[in-house]
Amino acid sequence: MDETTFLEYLSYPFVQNALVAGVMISLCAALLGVPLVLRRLSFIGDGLSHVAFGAMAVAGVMNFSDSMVLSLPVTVAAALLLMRAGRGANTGGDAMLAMLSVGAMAAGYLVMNLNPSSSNVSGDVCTTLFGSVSILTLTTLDMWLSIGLSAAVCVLWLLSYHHVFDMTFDEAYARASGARAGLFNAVAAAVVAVVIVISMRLVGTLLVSSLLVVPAVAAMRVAKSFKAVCAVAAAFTVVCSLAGILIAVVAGTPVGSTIVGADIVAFLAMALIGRILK
Amino acid sequence: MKHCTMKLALAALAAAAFAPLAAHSADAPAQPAAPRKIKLDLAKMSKTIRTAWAVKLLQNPEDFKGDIIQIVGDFYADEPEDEGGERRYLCALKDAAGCCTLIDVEFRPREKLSWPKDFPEEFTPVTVNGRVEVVRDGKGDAMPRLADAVIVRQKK
Amino acid sequence: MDNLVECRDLRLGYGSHAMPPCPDFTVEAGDYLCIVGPNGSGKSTLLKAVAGLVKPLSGTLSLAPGLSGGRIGYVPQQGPLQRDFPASVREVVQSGCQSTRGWRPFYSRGEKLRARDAMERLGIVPLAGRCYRELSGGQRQRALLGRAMCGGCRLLLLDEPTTGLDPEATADFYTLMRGLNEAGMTVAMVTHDRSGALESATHMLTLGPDASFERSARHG
Repeated sequence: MDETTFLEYLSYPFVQNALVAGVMISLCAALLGVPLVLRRLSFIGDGLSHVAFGAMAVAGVMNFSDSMVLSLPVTVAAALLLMRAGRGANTGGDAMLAMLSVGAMAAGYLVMNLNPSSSNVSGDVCTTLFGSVSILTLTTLDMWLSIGLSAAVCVLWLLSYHHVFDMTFDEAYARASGARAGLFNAVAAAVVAVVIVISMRLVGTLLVSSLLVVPAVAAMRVAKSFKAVCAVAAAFTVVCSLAGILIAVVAGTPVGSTIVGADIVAFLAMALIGRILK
Repeated sequence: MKHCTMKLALAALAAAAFAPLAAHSADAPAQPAAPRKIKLDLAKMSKTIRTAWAVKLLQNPEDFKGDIIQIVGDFYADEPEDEGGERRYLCALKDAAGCCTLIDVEFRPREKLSWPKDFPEEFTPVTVNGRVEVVRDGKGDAMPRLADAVIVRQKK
Repeated sequence: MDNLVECRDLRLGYGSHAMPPCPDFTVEAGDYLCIVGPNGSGKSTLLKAVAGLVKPLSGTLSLAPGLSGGRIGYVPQQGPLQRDFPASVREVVQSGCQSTRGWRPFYSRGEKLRARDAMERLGIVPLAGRCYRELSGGQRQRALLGRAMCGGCRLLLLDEPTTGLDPEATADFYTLMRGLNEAGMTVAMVTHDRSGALESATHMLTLGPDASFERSARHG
């Protein structure tokens, strides 16, 4: 009995879709991750992903054909709410996020157990939390939504690149120069929420933060300008996600953890290179 | 005692004699006893892809209708609830972590097998191939079922 | 002599907490104003009000027409987030043109030239490609000044710019500011450093219990 060849795996349409969607998703996550990490908001990825999990659970129980229909608006609303409650980590916004995220997780799991739409609740939870094969089993709608949204986020990010720099480097100065900080922060919060929801398809709820954070942190070890940080983070994530998906497909490991594993290994390499370059 | 053994021996001989015939008649036309052409062989794939296909089988069984596929999972039998019901044989396909069952695929053996000796031990891994047909379960959802199934390996 | 900034009966504060009243003062083109006073007397708040970031509780704060947006170069206090920021000096200085850039997703040629010009005036062109977080405190301040001047500003507002600088860097900084002021830049600086301030200031605004606004005889 011969094993499936690498090329055979690549011939399956759902593998090809996973590669395209995976690259797009991780690209927009990495780009957004740069300002997020610089504003010391790395924990947001985790918190909002838990909220999204709760929303997904409810959507599943209510038999939505696509959970994103519910999880996207709910997560965006949560992000905007948190932004209102207190920006950043110094005005109690972090405590509120903690409550919201843990509460949503608990509620989601409870709802799933009380109203199982499938006979296999723990399996669904497992897959959703860790993204073992989610990216390989996207429905057509899911795939186009993911690709479309990530592309839109990337384009938006590129067009507002300088705004991102200004607001991230020195918000006070930007506001003094006439920047519309409220609008920027609201749009940023909404976009982060969208990216988190679609990233959950790739690496699962629990590993979403790594997709946002690791490329940025790795890039900052070697890059000397903001432009370089963004470019390196983008390249980093594309390479690691491609590698992660392909390794998972061939070696039979769960996709989410493999991508994150690739990220961490690559980060260590970058940290070493950064050390050497100094 | 001697009578019983004689009867058993005769029965066995008859079974042996008629088995090939039985196999032939239950067969679809032009289906050789030699290795059948399997369109989708999950046994040859990594766990990740196997799980992905299993999810696809669960989500859209219509897509696989008529295909010969080979699946790998844990075997078990489902005793009928009421008197006249039939025993069902199932293969439980697990998820990638191996902890939860994604889908139970019922298979109907091609050959007439007697329970339990012709079957593998329950809850052990088994490889089964067969032709996919789509049936409706109690809730009206579409479920895949393997017809003309052949159990390839009894035990890992 | 045109007044760039004019304040009358100004009262600043946050929410219900009002700060001690601010003496009336004006800033004319070419002035070098130092704002001093004890902690909590509202020095930073005053600067923010002139920059347009906070609204006064009462009183009037009027700016000369045409003095808004990029015409005011505001250099706020730097926090740890900025000090550790991965940006090149060129990027930092260039961001000073953000008010003229507006919605455009790139900087125009003119804006890039202005940034280059600012860097030349401050002597930091050799640092253009260096990473901001690898710079010394004094070099960072020059980059931030470059950013403020990039917008073609007529009024520089500085909030405690010498915090964290060693005495040599501080002296350098004051020399630099003096040079800029003599070349025509109007300066308003919040500082703890009274003696250093007295060296270059044309006017001194003291906030707090001994509030006053007076001309100072500039030496040299």
